[in-house]
Amino acid sequence: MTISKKKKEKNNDKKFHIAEILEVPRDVALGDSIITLTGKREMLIENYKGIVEYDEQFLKVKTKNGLIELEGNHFLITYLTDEEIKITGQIKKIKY
Amino acid sequence: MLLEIWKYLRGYVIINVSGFSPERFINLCANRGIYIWNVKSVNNGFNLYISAKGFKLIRPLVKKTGCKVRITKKIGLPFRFLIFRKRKIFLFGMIICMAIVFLLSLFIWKIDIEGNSMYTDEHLIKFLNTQSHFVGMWKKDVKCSELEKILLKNYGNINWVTCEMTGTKLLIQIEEGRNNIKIEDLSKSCDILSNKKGVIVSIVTRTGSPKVVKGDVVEEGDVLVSGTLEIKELEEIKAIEFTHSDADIYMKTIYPYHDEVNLKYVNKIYTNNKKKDKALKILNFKLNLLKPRIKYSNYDKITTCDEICLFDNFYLPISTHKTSYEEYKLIEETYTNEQATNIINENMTRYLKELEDSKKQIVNNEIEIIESTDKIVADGIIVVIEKIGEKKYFDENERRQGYEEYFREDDSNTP
Repeated sequence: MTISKKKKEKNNDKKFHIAEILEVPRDVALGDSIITLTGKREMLIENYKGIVEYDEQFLKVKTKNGLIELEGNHFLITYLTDEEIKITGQIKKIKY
Repeated sequence: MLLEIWKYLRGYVIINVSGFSPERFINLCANRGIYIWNVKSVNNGFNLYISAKGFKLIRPLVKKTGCKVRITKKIGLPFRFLIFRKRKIFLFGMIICMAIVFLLSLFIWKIDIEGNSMYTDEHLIKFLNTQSHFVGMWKKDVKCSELEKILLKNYGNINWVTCEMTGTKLLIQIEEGRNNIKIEDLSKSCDILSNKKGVIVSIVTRTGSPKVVKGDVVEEGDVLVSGTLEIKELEEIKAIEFTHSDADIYMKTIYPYHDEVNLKYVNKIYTNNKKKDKALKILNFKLNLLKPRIKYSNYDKITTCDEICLFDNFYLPISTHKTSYEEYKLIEETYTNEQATNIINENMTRYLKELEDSKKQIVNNEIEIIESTDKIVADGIIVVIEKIGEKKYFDENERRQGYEEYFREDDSNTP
């Protein structure tokens, strides 16, 4: 298990280098998610995989490279599509 | 904004998802490309907005996630049409109504004539009918320029015509001219003759040789100014020239006047009995709404006709006619002598005023009013000074021939 993890990390580093040399955007190359925050009210997450938990005060979103947790009040999913999700509400904590 | 309109056009539904794992349901929806928005967490589950199209696809997903879905509200244009499913006839009727109005707008439903005082509207409309332009004809059959030409040709007093077609109205505007000014040909020679009998008061000759002087008595047809100029040398005519005569001649003439008023006359008195009738006329069918039975022996029938028009120029072939029947009685009455005399005087004043208005100067009127048992008569003459003179063109060659003989004789006489 650890070997495959190491391999993965090596692969990732390689990819990272290639991406840097070719100046390819990182979310395309590495599958990173782009988070756009507008103050404390709005958050747009692009390139996500799915919703794990959703509550009025708690939201957990799964991405390729990990989980994003949001805590706050009056959460409302404005819209969601295949690749992006927009949330509005009073955001108090963001955790990776 | 545009997105909102688009959403409304496509239609969307507000649903409530509750149960085992509603989050999983949302994820599956997102994966399948079903558009979802405004997801809000409530007590038991989620309220969310989903497109109508998407809603049809979620059935297997609901089973998979073991959730319960309930529709809260249906919003959008497609749902409106579903309501019409039960009211097809309403929709049908609306379409037919629009089609009829459109069809009616392809015809002419009113002919309007403006600017005419000498010719009545009915007279001109009858003439148009003979030229195959009538109410109820196709709009595309109207030929405006031809109409204008025909109207100008057939009516001498119309100086200017335009025909216009706006909405369902054919508008004809006319300018009338009284007495087209004749263009005189000043090079053609003519005499001036008298057209009445009278006494010359003044004569001012500009061209031509005058044959009369002030104080002469002339008959109808006498030559007042001749176009022949005789060039004399010591009482002998040496040469002849012809010219276009022009002169101002004023003459004193007599206008006879006669007027009678009978003392007995028939008077029309309206008794206040009226009966009203209303009718509706569509195209050529007339529907009477009331139908009063009229027992009067003498009555006046007065009808007012109103046509329905939308937007000023869009006339429809529907009109309402209101008729009122007013009874009157014929009663024989007599004027008193005074009343009859007044009427005679009024008539006389009016006539005299008409004469004055047409630029004739009234010198004297010798009118006698005679009263007899059953009528009053005004009889007499009016002496008037007016401008007279009729131009008569002649043929130069004919006249010259007349003088030729004179010259030849003359020549033969001189040694």
